[in-house]
Amino acid sequence: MNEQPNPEFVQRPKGDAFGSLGETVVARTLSAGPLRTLRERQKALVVLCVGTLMIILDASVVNVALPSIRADLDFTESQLAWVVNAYLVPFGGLLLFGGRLGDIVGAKRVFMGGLSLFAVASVLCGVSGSQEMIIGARFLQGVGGALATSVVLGMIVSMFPKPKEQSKALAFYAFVASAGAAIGLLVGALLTEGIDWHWIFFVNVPICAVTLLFAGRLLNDRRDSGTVGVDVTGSVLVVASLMLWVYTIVQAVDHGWTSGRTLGLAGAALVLLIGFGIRQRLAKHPLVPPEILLARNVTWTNVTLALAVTGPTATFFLGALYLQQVRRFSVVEVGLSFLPVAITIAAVTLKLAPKAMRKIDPKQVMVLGLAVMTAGLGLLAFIPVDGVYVAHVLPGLVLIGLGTGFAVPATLAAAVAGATRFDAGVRSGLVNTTQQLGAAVGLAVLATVATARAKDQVTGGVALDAALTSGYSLAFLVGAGITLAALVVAAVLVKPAVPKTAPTELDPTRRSTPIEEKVTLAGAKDADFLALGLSGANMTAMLWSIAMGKRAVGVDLRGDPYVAVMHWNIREDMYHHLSEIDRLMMERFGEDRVPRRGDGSLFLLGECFYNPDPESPGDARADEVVSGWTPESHIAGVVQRVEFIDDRYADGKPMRSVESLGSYDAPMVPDPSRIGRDMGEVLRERSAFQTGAQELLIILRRYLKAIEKMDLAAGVEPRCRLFRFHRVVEQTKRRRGEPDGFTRDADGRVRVHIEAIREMDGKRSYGRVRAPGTKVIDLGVPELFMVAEGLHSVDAKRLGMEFEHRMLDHGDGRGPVRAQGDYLVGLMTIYVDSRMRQRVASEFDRDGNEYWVRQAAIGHEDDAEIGWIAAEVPDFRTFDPILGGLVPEGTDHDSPEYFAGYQHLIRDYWLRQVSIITEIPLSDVRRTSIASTPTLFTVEAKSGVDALVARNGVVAGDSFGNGDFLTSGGINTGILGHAARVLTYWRRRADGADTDSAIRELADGIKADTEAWIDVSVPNFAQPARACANPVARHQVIEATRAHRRAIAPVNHRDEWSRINVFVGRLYSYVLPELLPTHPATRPENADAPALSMTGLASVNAATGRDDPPPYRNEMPGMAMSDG
Amino acid sequence: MGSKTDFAGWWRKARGRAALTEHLDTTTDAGVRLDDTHGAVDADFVALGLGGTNMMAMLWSVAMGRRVVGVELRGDPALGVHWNIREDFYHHLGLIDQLMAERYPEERLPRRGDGRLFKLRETFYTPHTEPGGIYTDEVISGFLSSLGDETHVAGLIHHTEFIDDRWADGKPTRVLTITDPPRPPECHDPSKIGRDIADVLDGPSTFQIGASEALVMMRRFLEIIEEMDLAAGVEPRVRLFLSHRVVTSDPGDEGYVKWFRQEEGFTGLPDGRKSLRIEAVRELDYKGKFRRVRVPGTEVLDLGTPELFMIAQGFNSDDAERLGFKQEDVKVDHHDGRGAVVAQADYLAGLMELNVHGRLRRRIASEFDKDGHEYWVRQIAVGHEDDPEVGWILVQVPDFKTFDPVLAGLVQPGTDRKSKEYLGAHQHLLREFYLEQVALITEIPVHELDEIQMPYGPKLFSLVERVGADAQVATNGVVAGDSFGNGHFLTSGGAITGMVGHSSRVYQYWLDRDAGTAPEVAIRDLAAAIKKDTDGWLHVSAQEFSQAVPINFGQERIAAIEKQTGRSSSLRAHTIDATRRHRHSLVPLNPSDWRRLVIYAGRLHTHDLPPLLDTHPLCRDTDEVLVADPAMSGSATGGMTGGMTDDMAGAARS
Repeated sequence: MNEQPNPEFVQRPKGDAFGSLGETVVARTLSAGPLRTLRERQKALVVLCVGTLMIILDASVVNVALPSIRADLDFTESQLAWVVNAYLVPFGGLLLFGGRLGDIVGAKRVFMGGLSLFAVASVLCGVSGSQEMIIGARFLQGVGGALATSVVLGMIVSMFPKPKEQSKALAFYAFVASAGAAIGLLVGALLTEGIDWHWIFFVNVPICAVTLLFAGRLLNDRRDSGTVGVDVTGSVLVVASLMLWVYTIVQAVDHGWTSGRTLGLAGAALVLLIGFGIRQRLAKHPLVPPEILLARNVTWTNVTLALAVTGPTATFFLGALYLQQVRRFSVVEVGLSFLPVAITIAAVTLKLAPKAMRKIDPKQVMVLGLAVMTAGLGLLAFIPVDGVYVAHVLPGLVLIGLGTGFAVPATLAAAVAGATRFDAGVRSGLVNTTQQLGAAVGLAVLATVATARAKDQVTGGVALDAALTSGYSLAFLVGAGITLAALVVAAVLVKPAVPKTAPTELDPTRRSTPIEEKVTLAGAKDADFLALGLSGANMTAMLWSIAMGKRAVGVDLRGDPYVAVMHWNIREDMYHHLSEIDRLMMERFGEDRVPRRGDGSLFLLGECFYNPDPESPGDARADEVVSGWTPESHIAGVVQRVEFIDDRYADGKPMRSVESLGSYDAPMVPDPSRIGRDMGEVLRERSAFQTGAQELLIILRRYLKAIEKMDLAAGVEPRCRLFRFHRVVEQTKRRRGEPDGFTRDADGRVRVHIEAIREMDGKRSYGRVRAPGTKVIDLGVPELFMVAEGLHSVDAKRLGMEFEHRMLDHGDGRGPVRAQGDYLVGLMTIYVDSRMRQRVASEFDRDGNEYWVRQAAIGHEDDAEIGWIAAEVPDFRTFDPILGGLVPEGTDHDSPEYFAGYQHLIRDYWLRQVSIITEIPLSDVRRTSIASTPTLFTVEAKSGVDALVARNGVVAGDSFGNGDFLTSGGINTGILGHAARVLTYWRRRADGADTDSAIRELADGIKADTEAWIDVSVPNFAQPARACANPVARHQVIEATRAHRRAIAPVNHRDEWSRINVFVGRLYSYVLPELLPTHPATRPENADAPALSMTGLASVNAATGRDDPPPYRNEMPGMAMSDG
Repeated sequence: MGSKTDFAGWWRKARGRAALTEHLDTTTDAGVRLDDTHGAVDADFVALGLGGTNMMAMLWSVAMGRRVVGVELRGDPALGVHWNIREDFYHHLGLIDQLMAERYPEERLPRRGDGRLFKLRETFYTPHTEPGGIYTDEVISGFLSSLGDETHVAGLIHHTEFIDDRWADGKPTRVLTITDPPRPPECHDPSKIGRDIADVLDGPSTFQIGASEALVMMRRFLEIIEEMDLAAGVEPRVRLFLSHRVVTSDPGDEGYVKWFRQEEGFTGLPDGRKSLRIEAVRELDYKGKFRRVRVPGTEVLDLGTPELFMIAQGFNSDDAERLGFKQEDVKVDHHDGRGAVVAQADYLAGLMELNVHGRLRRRIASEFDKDGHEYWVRQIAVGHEDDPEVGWILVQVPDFKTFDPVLAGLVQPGTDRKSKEYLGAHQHLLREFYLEQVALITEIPVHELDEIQMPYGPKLFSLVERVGADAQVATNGVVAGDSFGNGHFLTSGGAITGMVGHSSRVYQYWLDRDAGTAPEVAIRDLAAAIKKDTDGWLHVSAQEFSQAVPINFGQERIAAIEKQTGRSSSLRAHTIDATRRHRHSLVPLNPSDWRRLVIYAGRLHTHDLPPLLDTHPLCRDTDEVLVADPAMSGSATGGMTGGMTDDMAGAARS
């Protein structure tokens, strides 16, 4: 690729791009071929792990053979540690070097080369006849082992780039690495006992040969051409220094810790170490870049690790010697004795530690592990000469296993947690090195301590067994001390792996003024009318209040009206009410103080809602109308078709009757005489309009907002104030010294305090907290406040609101039961058009009992995207995926599979109902997009005992009570009923009525409206009268079914409305098929057979020469009722 | 409260291990047939992943008389972004229409719902039909024409505006460049097929279109052909499997045994070709996470061995990876003395319901960290002709930005990062920064933006350019689209590279094959062309990552800065990396975001954008201290943006 600035980029801007002057894409470093298939990579993983197991195993395999080796080759106790350390020191010292070498010459070459060297060295170890030879051969083994293992992790990571596969592969590797030491003891024991110690080395040769064979076939030689050098000098310096340190420590037993020889050697080792440090600063490609050590957590986690690995290493080494030399265990018995440690480490490393680290920070896991390990080593420090394995050794071993299993992976995680793209490799190499070197130096120290103490004791006349035991005890005690030191370092100096704060060194952020703090409080206190919850009822009540010359304040928890709050069927009165508000506003304030739309025209609510001009389309969004984008249009569509389908069984047979009301003549002029009509009368009339709930609410909201804005701008007392993202201060959340949200004055009136909140999307639910930096706002004592916050109003409950349920006797022997029903409600992008279609049908349970269920389809004039479908769930349906055969018996209800099965059954049931009510084939319905997935919704007919909850406060809207929602009873009752009662309130007040009598009348009016709504709703809760042998048992089953259905995915409507779950699919913008005269159950039962889509049909017609569109139903397979 | 919930959970578990023993429920699972492979075995072309790249490749293949199969996991298109489309795409659609008409009799061509021939080019754009906020399905079904609205789905770009607000000579400077809108073509031009993709991307965009609308257009075309052929009982030219994937294990499985026994969807033949086996999947939406499992009771479907298959499944294709495909980070040398650095950047993306109209507006500006280092950040606003609801705005996050609520004083120091207060404040800071940046590019005051509805975002995206070495992953298979490699997304490079570049290389493949070229030669050429296209995209993208550096940047300058700030350059690099990681750890990208929308309810802003001012935002204030001290200006910008934009709006109104 080009290495010079591309002259084409010099002239800017060009096309859509924009940048600086000259950039060059640098040739990539990928030099190997692509990855192999997963199966081949899995085999390669096994090969790498076998190689690693053998190498790790060789660090411990000699432990059980040590007495035999000592006996054969005349080692002293302290010199014997060399057999182990001659392996560990080069192993640790060359890991970083090996990694770098792999980058340059290829990881596969280094792995195979290292393994070959290891095999040769193993042969040399096996044939060793002298101390020098075995130590030299072990050194070579260490070199080979270091080279081979140094590249394994990198190879695994690059072979499995996908996080999930990578974590599986790494965990597999971790298991091999952690269990290797213990397996080594057992293998070593078996070989030493079965043949002799030479075979612990010879056995490596065939394994190496097989591994090399497969490695050649399965591994790729991947090189990083970006790595250009390796610090050989640094490697030599660090290995030499560490070897000298170990030698110094080991020989100190014979020469004394303060002897000139010891000090001289230590000095030389120190010089070498300093030399290594200097070399790292000067080298172009250092093994450990000095700045890495300065990065978060690197130094102290490595220190912790170096100290921590002393414990388990010493346990294997000294523990084996104790059991063999003091307790006279056979070699195999020694091997088996360490098996529990291996199992514990493996179990904890693989299962418990990852879980613990997910729950709590690795730092805490590390501290916990170190504490357990310290306790284990402490226990071993008290082993008696005649110790019993189970009582005196095993508990300590298990604790050490537990501690190691927790502490080591946690330390590794903490050390690399902060790794960046640039230093991840170096950091992991560093911890590997530390782990090995820590073990080597720690072992040297503890072996020396044990030997020195034993020597002293023997010199002092103590029996050999007791002297040895004393030496081991002291070593374990020192080991416990070292682990304790690790614990202190970890607890005090290591920082949590997940930083508590962000790196803020470069971020200049200072708190800017939050948006919510910019609000002024003019006109907010002691309002005439306070609306808690900016629902349709409350906003209309505010409008009536303002139109009556009152000052109104509104408080709402959320921002703007939600997107998905259903589509409403609105009675004609709405147009007249809104027009009357317009008239009163004009009359009272004149044109200058009535808000205007974006195009400068007067903002008239009635006209925005519905414009009788035939040229005015009724499918606009509210903001488009208000802003003047489409000033000629309005939001409400006229309902031209009202259809009722009765599919209930009669005389045991499916019957269908269809009733269709004629077209509707929408009002041409406002009619003030329709204000304040009886709600029952209003609701029994056919719906005149359909509108998106959000659109109507937005019209009201924009109007109020415009009044607030114009008054604040004019500097006059605002007629309206709106506080969105505010709530009445919650009793449980208020801070010390703050007033409660509702405080009652002596005269029984309620004073209201509100707070600004911040809404948080917690994925599964919304969380709300007080906006930081904001203070409680005192809204004073309004003359009248009204709580209308939808279903389940917290504020109404706080004010002591009580409900009474409407009871119905279905004539089935159960007596009066609550009037209730469960519905599935969702939005499909189906062109239902200017139609309100309702259906009632029979469903049958397993025992053949009949249930009536209702569906409703609501559309919008000329809008192909609106198809709100509500479908009642028969009470016998559980949506239990076990019953549906989707998941096996016994599946946990909290499992994803169970939940998904439930969700699938709900969706499937709903789509079938959609298909039946729309007459669109199920196969087409299944492919149609769902703009808001079906949600289970419970309707209970209930109303408040009394709407009056304070001397100056009432509850209204859905917060006061509910009937059935199929024909939008709630919004009509709230806006046309309850809100207009507020108009009456102000009129009564203007006529001289006192507040107490006016509000009493208001509360009674609210109650009367809601009761009327419930009365109208009763038929929609009706169920067929049926004889039942055991009504009590039946009632119990139905109640259990209902509870089961509702419990699986409870819906929190306060949150769900603005969180839309979309199913993508087609937009069905064809006219609905004609309603058939036949009952669905009498049609052929091939509903699931794929049918042509309408577009496909048009194409097929053209292909077959049929120019006329064929009758839709003739081409479509019929529907079958799902059940019953 | 907690104990009550816990008890409820326990009770539900205890009670609900088995289904209700006594029940009246008649439920059975009536599945849908998902096992029909008629016409799908041994196809000429199999598309794995039905994004724009593969669907265009399928269309080319059908137009060349080939039998094609498409396999897609996610049903209908759901990509909720808006694309800037180069003119070439229009010409490609036109040639496909032309080839279809030449090859097949009219009765084998798809039609719209109103009976008219379904032509891709006309559906996309004609000079005689109207644009606007419409759905492709409404056009294809004939719904809009039945209302008297003759429409097309793409919008024209009428305004192309570049704002350069970078500092020059230590002072904020604004340079506005407003280019003439490209003239839309009158008719398709076959000579523009197969152009070099760098040339295509370096040209201006002519059209804008919702990604899902463009994809739906292609999807419906393919679906109708499939339906027609199946209905006519002839060998189907197209087969689509829309909730299927190449057989794999469930990523939710944790057991090693399952992992090692995982079924292979790709089975190798001795000659290196792969045959394909697919399975029907069901998508599970469980507590905000999507999982997919094989539909219970369904069998694996054997698609045989296609002549050619192409994997284009977006970033991080599992199928490509299973075949051994691997990507590496792309590095870019900005010739600023620092050598090659990984091409990466963080962006906040959001869809605001504000009327950006047929406009592509870009801005580049300077931001400064605590030490006074300058960073360049970019923003882009993309709209749609006559649709006030489309305002896709992407803003780059300067690398020093943490969005740390503690630093911002929103929560107390020591607040747990997992606490809802911390996360809530973090979300708030993201939104606040986003709106500040949106204000700068749109010139609409922040407090007004705060009231505008946001159906999506702001969502933090991390863009890292990655690319593979070779697109060929089997003797009969290639990787394409974003699955092969990705450059910068700012000007819809991915969509163009895939739909205009890679897919037309498949057309060339069939031309070569028809000319007698052996498959192994033709596929080698195809893979090379895919790589060349993506490299072209990377070249054009490179400049989008360039960062501010002094002209005399070099070791001396670095040393001087280090001395001044007491902070080494390497430590700074680490800090930036850690800062980036901190940001990512708090808001991981979740693909389900496109499906589970969280909407910020608000106003639809239908007014035109305010006019662009000639003055730099910082120069609209008289406080010269800000100008004199670049080190302070980052914080100053953070603190003043809201106020500044108020002033800007005032000036704009005047």
